[in-house]
Amino acid sequence: MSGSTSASRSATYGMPRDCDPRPRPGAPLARRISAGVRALWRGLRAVSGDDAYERYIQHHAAHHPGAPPLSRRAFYEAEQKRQWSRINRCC
Amino acid sequence: MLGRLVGIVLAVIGAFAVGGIALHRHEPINAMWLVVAAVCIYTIGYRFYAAWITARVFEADSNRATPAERLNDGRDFVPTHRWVVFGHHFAAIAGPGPLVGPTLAAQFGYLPGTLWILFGAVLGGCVQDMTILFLSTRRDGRSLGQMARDELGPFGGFAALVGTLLIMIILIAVLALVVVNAMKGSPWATFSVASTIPIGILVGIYLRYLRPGRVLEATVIGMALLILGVVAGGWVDQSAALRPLFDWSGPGLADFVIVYGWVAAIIPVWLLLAPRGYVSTFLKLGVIALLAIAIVAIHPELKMPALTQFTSGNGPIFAGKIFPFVFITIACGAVSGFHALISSGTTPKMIGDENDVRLVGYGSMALESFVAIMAVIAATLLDPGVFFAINTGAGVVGATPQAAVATISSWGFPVTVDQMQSLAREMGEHTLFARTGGAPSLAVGMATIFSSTFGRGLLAMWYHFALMFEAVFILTTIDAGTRVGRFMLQDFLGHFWKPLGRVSWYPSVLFTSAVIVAAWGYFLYVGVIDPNGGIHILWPLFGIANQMLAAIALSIATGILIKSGKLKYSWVTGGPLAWLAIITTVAAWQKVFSPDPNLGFFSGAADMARKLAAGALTPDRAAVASKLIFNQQIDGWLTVIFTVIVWLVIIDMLRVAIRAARGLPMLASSEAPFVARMQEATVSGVPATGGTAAS
Repeated sequence: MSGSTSASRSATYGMPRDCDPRPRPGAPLARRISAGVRALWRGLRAVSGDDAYERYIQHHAAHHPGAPPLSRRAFYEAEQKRQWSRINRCC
Repeated sequence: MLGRLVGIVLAVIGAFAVGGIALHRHEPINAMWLVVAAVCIYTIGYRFYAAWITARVFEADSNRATPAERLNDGRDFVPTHRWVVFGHHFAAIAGPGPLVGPTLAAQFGYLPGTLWILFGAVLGGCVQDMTILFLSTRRDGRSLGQMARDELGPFGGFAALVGTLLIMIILIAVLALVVVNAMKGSPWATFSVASTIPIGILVGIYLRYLRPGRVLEATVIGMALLILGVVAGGWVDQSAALRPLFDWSGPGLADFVIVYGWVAAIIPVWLLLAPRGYVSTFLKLGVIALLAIAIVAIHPELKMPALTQFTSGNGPIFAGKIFPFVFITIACGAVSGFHALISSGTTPKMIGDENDVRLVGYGSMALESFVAIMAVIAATLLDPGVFFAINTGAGVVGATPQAAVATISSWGFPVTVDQMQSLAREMGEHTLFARTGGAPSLAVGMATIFSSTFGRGLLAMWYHFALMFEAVFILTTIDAGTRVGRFMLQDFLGHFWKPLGRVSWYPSVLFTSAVIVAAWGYFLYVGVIDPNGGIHILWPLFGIANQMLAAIALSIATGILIKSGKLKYSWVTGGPLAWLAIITTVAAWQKVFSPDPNLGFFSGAADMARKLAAGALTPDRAAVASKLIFNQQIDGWLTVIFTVIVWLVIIDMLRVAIRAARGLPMLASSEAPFVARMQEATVSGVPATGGTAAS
């Protein structure tokens, strides 16, 4: 993996740059551990879909300013319907 | 340089471990041999083969914008961190299949299953998952069926659709049978599995009304309640008043599961399916992690021999010789066609970088394969006599405990009635004889592993926890599969009468759901009344169907590779395709034409009809004989249909390949044109907080 790859990847959703799981070498141990825990927590929230609404609000604010976003509940319901209307579990 | 050195060291250790497993014959082998061999082989496959495929065959390009980036809508298409996609994808592909198949295949000994799981995954299954994921990512996340239609033509698309629907029905039936057999005559198991339904609904209400979308909180609550359900099952089992309420026979449970499946498919997803899906996913990941830790911690000896006499046929759990039936019995864990549907579903829409497909596609399947290795370990650490006593139907070994232990001991696997009774008592069960389906024996194995790592006294608790763990995601697969089957049927019927195709028109929803449930319910019911245990017939049918779906997926992949001028690399998918075509065709041939009534569907039906006419069947068998005869004929014809579909797809692919090789006109590639990725994509262009619109 080239350096440019990881730079652009760190901008993708789930683990933004400011919580790269590998802090700069030389950082104090406590900070490195807390950065790791934070990254893990964000990863967990992203994998489980716990933060789906925040992600939606961010996207909505950036791309459809002015239009009112869905409420938390309406968004949750629509998301469930979308996710379970196709094959998303296997044998 | 360092990477190469690590690779060489891994190769040496891996070769040593595989050689050790293969040559160990007369003394018990330690499970760590399997674990070490597996880890080395996956690592080599991932570091070298998968890296080579992504670089040379795919020419994956990190500078090419993925659909997630180009079509980012904040919901469906979202560029996502590769470990998060990995988690999503693994949670979607990992089901009960890799746990059940290897358990059943342990009738051949630990060696055949282990070798097929390791090499089948590294050279076949992982490659299939990764290739379909990559091709779909290059095609805006299109589904397998759409890719088949776009690249091969309408026939390929139609075949993929029919194949998918058929395998889904068989899959649901066989999984439902596993759950029913696990609950049969066990009030504890029945209560704890049944309790997952109200728990799912409670979590659903929490997630919709109380704290909308707070998935993690709800999951923690749900998991705590599930564990409480297992504990409460023990109280129910002890209570003279409550016990009979949950003590059900097979057919009664089958009726319950059929009605449940229909209701679950027509109620809104937020009420039961989605919340239980969350809880079961976390439970699954947690148990897999715990199992891996426990296996390494206790590193048990495997008591099953490397090979048993059943490799030459006549096995009690399923019929047929080691070739081709070990490759059919273990589908998930080595190669699973169903994964191609996931790899061309949600996952490609989340890929943020083309080079992530190696971790997500290949890596997830390697992990699933490791789950299958753990299932091999859990099955083969049991005394072989105990293993066969649990997994063999009464129709094969005899209905009484005395008859069963006599038959099994005569095979050279000594076991006594006392031993089985004390084991059943330890597990909090009435009996463990003839508990076919794989789940109870896996639960005994898992309980043994867990209790010797985390506390001996809780054996019964661990056993029922393991059963509930398997049942909860089987139920999720049943609900989800029935819903998706319903959508596919509605889509299909909509061509004939428009209103039937409307997914929100309630009469159509009720009708099409009932059709799907009736289809799998039929196979479930016949499986339950079969004195040989049902799984005997249904699991091979499922294996053939799943492997044939893999053959369809690999045909589509090979066709696309050849069309895009990569003929010289077409063996990457063409090799596994050839192997799957051989094993499924040989297996299908034997299931259809074998004169052995245990193996052939039609000869089995004819044999039973003959015995029925001659009055040679016991009264209880004679009562169900006509249904079993009819079922074997249906199974035989289904096998014929599967085989014809697969070969038509292969021929269609070869037609396209020959046209491509000769430079004749053909369907244009459906690959999305190159778009360079934006540097500093997505998140950096978005305000850090919800800001204005959030209020």
